[in-house]
Amino acid sequence: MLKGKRWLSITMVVVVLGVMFVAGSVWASPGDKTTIHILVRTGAEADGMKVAADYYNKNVTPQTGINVVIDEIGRHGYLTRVVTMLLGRSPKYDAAFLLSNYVGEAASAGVIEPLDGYFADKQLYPYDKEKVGFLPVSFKSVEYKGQIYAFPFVISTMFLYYRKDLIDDPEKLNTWDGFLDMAKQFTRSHNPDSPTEFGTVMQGKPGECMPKEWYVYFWSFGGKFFDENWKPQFNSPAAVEALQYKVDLVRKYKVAPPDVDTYEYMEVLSALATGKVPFAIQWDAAYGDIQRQTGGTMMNIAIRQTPCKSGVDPAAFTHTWTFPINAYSKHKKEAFKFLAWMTSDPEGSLWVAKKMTIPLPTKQVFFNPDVLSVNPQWEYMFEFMKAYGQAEVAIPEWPMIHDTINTFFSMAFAGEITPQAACDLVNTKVDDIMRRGGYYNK
Amino acid sequence: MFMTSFWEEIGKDKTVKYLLIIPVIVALVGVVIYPFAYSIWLSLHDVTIMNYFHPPFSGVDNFVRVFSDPFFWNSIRVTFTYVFLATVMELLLGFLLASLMNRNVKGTAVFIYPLIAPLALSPVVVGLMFRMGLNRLYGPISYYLNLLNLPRNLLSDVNTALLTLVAIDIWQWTPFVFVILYAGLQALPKEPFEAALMDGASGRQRLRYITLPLLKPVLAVAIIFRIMDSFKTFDIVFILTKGGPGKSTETISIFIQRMAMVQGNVGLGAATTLLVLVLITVLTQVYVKYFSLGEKKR
Repeated sequence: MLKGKRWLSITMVVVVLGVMFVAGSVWASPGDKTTIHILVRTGAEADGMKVAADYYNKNVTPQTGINVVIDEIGRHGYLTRVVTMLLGRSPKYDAAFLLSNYVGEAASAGVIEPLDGYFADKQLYPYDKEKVGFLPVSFKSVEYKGQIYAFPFVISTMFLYYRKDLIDDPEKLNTWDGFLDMAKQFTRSHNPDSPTEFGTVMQGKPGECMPKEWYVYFWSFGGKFFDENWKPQFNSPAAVEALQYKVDLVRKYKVAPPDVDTYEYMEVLSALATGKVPFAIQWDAAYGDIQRQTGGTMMNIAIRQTPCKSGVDPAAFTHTWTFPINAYSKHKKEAFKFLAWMTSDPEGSLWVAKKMTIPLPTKQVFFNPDVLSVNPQWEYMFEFMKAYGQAEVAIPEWPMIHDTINTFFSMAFAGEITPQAACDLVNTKVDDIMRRGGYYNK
Repeated sequence: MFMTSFWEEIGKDKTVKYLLIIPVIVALVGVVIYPFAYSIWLSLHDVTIMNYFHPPFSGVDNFVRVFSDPFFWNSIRVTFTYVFLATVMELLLGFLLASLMNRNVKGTAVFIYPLIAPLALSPVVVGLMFRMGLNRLYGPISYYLNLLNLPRNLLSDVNTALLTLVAIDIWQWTPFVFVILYAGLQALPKEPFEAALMDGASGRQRLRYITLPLLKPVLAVAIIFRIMDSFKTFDIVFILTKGGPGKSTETISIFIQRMAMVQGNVGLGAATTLLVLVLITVLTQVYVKYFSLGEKKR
């Protein structure tokens, strides 16, 4: 009796598991379509990607049989979570939105797919690359050991945003000397008649943006990251001068709020959009955000090139948000086809650019009159990047270098060490990182 | 009837019993034992993102590197300061509030709901709320601090940043301690207090010789929960300061996240995690032993 019941219970468990498995398989395969999952961070990117996916699923899926699903995860710690997901070798997501700085690291780990072969296949990439016209700096940022590892998708740079109603002669802001003079003029502790309490703001919080904003100062003071033998130059006179200048804006001249070391994109954007400061260096994405927040009036805010030291060129910082394909995806070709449509198809890329107001780094998008009528700042942006575009170095060690800069520069901003000491410490650490990475022996 | 006897008989069968606990064992191995063993393995290898799948064996190198890193010791100092200040203040304030509420004055129940409201907020929301509130240019908290002639740059000053984070922790978690202690106070027997009153014991004597000893097990739970929770504080620090200004608020959680996830030194991060695990285990054991000894004496 017991034996019979034991087998009955085991059979019941097996039957239930079997039914669940079969039901799961049926639900998981919607007809003959292949579903791909794209991972994007919450916010404007995810909202825009969902609109793009909807359009694709309605209009293009009938021809390709590819159904696109956009999955989103929060912005805080997004990049580290994506890298962790990729290292988990899970096929759950077919492609992910990733900053170009992390492409080298992920490529060297072998968790993202090299795409040269895909681009060469006319079935998968039926577009004329020359006609599409990707900005070279954007493709350079997704290369690792001569191979392409991702689709450049959103190129970003930084402008100087300023209030036209307060600044009559914006040319004065072309140099760092002029920038400081103007900042003093609009700081109440220097000029009691100033309409604003502080002359400028900056992103001083340790994290993704603080070092990137410093690079604008660094390059425009004449600095460069490495010499021809990969020896770091983070304590060169230009580097020290750039950091000293930036720290002095806060600590010596007090033309920026003293709490800027807690400021990121959001704080600088709010300071500009609410008219609390007359000018600040900020990401190009802020243009659209200010437009939205001010109902399209822009509150008399305009953009221009970031300042530079007299006799040195200005620097247009560029980095690219990209879409690499998960090396462990089961639908790599399908993911590639969708990404190719979104970035390179004459109809698809223009539609995406118009609807998402995303600066796809291609001539096809940047010079389209319809797109320009919605985003007039892109014409200037393209010219600025073309003339002065500079990017971080596409090596796998870059995240480590980035964190080293964060660590010691944050201490310099806090007044714990001098800018000279901070630059020396960064250089020593980076030297160690490069040596460990095998770039040189001594 | 049939079903009852069916399950009873099944319950007597050893094979079925073992079969039924397999899912629990699998879950335990999957979420506790395997990750723990994997952490040990990672800590003994020089794992970075780049060599993640084929890292070289490095022995105790990672532990040596952690011990010789001044930022590690700084993060330990910051964490202990944070844990100590937050736990002590939350206990004092929580006990004070619980005692006030325990007097059963009419209408006090109305205050309980607003008091425990911060508990309902996620640390991320709390972080964003204070991030905007403390902003020098447009934050309302900053505005009122200015009206009161108090320092405004609380998060950007190395001398006040950590204390501000502790204050935010106290604001959010005192209600938790209050709820536990209030429940404990409500459950205390009335007789010892009545006897003490008859004997003429003062309020202070009743607190020291009756309330606190009787409340000891509840206090122990509240303390251990708060110590463990504040030890691993991450979200609020990450959102408000990311360890800055300088390294003045870099807790051990932020240090580990920076090592393992930002720098990609996974082996180093794993070694630090294990060291912290040992530290917490030792502390917890000492603490539990202390409270157990107290029980025996009593």
